[in-house]
Amino acid sequence: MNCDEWFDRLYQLLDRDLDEKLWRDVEKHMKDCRPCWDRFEFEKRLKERLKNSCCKESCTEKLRVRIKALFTKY
Amino acid sequence: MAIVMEPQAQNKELFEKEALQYMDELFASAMRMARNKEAAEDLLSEVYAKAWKSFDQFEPGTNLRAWLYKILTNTYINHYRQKQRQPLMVELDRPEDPETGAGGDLYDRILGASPSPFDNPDQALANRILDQDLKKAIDNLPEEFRMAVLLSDVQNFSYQDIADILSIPIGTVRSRLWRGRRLLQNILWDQAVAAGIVSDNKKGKATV
Repeated sequence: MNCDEWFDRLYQLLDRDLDEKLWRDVEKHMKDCRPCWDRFEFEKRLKERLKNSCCKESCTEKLRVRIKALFTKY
Repeated sequence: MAIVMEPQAQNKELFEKEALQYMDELFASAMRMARNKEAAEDLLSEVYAKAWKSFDQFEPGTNLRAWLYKILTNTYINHYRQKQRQPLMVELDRPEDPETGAGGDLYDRILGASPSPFDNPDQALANRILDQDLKKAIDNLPEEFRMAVLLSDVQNFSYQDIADILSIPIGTVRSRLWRGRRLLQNILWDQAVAAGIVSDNKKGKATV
């Protein structure tokens, strides 16, 4: 597997959407290739940041009350 | 004598126990879909009203969280989308710089910004890109990509769950995520340029 082939599989690797054989090939390339390893680490961190940036918004108590009130209505 | 609950009361108890735990994360997702607080609150209320009314259709033992997200995305697409402002026009594909091959994604661009104001792309991500930059970038994605990125990167659903939630084939999930993430990185770069963190010449090659 070369860098271009590895790059085509980058997101599937990130999302754990690879079969066993492909997983092994992708991991093997990455462990031998520093630029690809660094890129993977960057993409992984970006994914984590995206997740964390959005989870801090929680609904207000007012909205909770409003939603719970719906259940007595129907 | 045992107290036998009415089916309605049993359902209600189960629903409150199971479905209400997802309220915060559904709200966070509704915020990224509707992109303003008031609309997100209305959207979430409607989602819970629909879920409550059709809770007897939910099969116990199947994925309740995915079921709620399916209601959320359908409600958003059917009732809220038309009222929303259009996302900014963004270029989907940018030609690579013929000399350096740079201009592809955020990682390449940060690396290409030489001499760099950052030590490396990881530090740029950790120290220069704020949560609000990330949220703004998601908000500016065209809808089909925004939904895919939100369900995968933010809510961590599997490709199969995303395919079920959005009612699209799994191959389409992969291609939307691919293009959506590339596009998101273009937007993040443009935001960094606009904020004056880096400058970009017309070729797309990053300079400081």
